[in-house]
Amino acid sequence: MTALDPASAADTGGLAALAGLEMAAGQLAPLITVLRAEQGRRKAGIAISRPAWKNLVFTGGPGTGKSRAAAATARLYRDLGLLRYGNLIEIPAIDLPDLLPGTPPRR
Amino acid sequence: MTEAVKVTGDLVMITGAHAWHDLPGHGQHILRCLYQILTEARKYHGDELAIILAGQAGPLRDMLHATPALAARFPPSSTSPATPPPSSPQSSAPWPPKPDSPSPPTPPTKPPPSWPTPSAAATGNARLAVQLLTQATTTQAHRITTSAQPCDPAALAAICAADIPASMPSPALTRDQYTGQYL
Repeated sequence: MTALDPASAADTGGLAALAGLEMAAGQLAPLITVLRAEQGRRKAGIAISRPAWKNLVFTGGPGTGKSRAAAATARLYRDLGLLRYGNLIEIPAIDLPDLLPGTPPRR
Repeated sequence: MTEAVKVTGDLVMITGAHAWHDLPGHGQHILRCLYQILTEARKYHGDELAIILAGQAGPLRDMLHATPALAARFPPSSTSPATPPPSSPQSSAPWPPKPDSPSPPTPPTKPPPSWPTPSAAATGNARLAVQLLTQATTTQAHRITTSAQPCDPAALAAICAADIPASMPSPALTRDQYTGQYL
């Protein structure tokens, strides 16, 4: 028998406690619940053949809390055991093409 | 790909990702590389890589819409931190019954799944199935994570009838939600 912790089921890694990010926490809650359930299955010894993806899209202009939300998400993923380190690494998109092979030259 | 290995175990946020839309080919080459990196991370690096694409909604939506394989790796709960969340993805109104189906003598406690509305039909059967499965999975996950009683392993992995939604997501909200985590 396996018990998942109901008290932590609605926890979104402190996201809801961050001022202005309560709505983001609400939007992420379904995904967090799915990931938490998956971890429960893993702990019960059930093989997960097609795990849920952990990737996200954050939209909004500067100062809307994307980085704060991302940092909280990284901590949550680490606490759930989904990521080993759970550091948040920010990479400017404009720098990424130079790191990838075969990128066409910029205009 | 080497760079992806270096950040395995961490959460990577790519800021200003909408800028790729201005690159040649609207950044499709980069999106294909991203798809490959995520696929290989799952296959060879224990699925210990998570990516957040951050930027302006319009260009990001267009880029992902043009790359459904990559979009499927970004669950539909993607968020805009400081803007109001969309209304519940579950429509409050039940679907209309089939035109040729007889009326039940008593109203059912849960409306049976039926044909989608005309606008929802435009999303296609495969998308409809993905949306149904995504909703059922989310409901099942909520059920087992909030259960006060311990679940046996079989229950942890089973979807029951109550998990299957009686109504479909609002079509107006689903452009970002076309793809799910099971494609």
